[in-house]
Amino acid sequence: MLPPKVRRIAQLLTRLPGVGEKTASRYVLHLLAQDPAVCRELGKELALLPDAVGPCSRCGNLAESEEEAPEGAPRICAVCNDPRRESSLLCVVGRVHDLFAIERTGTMRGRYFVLGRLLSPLEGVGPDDLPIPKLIQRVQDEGVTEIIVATPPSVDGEATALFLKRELLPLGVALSRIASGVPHGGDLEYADPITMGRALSGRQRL
Amino acid sequence: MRPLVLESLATFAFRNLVEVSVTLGPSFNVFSGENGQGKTNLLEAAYVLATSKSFRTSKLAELGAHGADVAGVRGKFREGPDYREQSIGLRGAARAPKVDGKRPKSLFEYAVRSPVVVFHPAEVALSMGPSAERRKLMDRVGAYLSPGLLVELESYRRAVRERQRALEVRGVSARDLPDWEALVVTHGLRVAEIRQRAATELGPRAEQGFARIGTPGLPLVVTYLGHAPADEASFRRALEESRVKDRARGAATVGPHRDDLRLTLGGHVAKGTASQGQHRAIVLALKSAEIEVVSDARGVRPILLLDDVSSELDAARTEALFRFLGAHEGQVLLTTTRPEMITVGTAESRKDFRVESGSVTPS
Repeated sequence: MLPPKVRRIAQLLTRLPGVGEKTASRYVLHLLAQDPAVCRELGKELALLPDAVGPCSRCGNLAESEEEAPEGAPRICAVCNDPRRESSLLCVVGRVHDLFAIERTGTMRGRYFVLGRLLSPLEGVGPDDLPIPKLIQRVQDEGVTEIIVATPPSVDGEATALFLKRELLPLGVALSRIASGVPHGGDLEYADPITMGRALSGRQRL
Repeated sequence: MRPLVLESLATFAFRNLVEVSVTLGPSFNVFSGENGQGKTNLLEAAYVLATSKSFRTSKLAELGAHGADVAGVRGKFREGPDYREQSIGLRGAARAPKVDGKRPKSLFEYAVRSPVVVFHPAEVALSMGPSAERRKLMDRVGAYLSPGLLVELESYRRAVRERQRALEVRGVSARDLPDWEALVVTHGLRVAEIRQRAATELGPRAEQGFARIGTPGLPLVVTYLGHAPADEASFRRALEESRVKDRARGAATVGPHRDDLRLTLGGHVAKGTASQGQHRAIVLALKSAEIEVVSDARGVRPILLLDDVSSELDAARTEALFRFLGAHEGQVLLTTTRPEMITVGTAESRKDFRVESGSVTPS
């Protein structure tokens, strides 16, 4: 039987994605067997995390607070702070995870806007729950001329893209949707039929 | 055409079956036993193994034995010279399919890998019952004709439910309704197109099949009865015009979720006018059409699963069924309470099993 303290921490760890009860208690026992400094440092950093990192007040990306900044001061992320980024190009994504996926490609020259959620009446998300006014404000303030809608190719992601299109079209900016198709370096015969169909209908002139 | 053959079948904590492990024959496999011994459960296990779904219930949690945490089915399929081992692990309502120890890319892909066609007494609903049964038939066949169907169907249903919720929560002028309706139309039209193809493939085969076994002079006619307006613009308009009605009813009134396969006998709709015997003949005709279409589309003879065949057919139709079975060049698994009535196969091509209190033994 695990001591109550160990059980308590293990229980907290099970809230992490992909961590079940067994894995959680393995983590705690592992930490106990380590140099106590590891535990202390992890604890200290975790305690500071919620105040140190939060959403960028401009785009919703993860941003670190500036040192000595007063509590509640707006945070600006590294992408928004980067002067080499083109402010005329904006990429709209559903979640921060998607932003990171696009950043990893290293091909995005513009900035981002994170919606934080996708339209889904079934999950209680309607148009008024999306930060559309903030997005429009940003387009106008920063002279955005092109918007790439990079919501996922799911039913909710597609509906969100269609909704954004109707909301953003009056602004007179160029709108595009990320393509969906076959992965690079793969054999065509292994592509699933839906993806293959999309790749065909979204073909480009040679 | 080469047949698909289930060479071995093993179950673990599946319904009332006690860790069954049987080696099956390539043609007729007859499972006999009293009622309630587990014959249907065995066929269900084979169906679950092949498709990852049950033909009796949509609740996978029911499949595990009483009090069991996990359950499973495993088996070896042969297709010409190729072998593969498939398995389905079940835990509550979750399922984990595997092909040769590896997880398939998707459940959709798994579901059309090893074609089976099931035939059980409740299936007379295909002719007598509500349209849902006939939509399922079109979708089973459609999944082989166009591998994208199951994904389209799932997207279509999701879009319909999202639209309905938006209508109910925020009313007929909810701002996102046009977007959900656009997706209902996109996916709905693809579903309708594939169903139309399925009906076109099934129809003539079922009509010819019925002409051989049904009432002379009363031709069966099978037609696709679509509930989706034919083109994008009119579908969009119909959805917009039905918002008030759909909100009040709590369900969408336009779209392929209301499709049907129309069955007429001598010009009259079979449901409500045909006799019991005619209904059974229609079902037999539709089923044999399903086998043919799946065979042609997949390039392999599906396995036939027949549950409790002799129980309610009259002599003439039992004979028709056996003629039909005799002509089937694939593997058959059938259950019966009266093995002496089953006159199919020869000593070499037939394998008999006894099912008693959940255990299966060769007899």
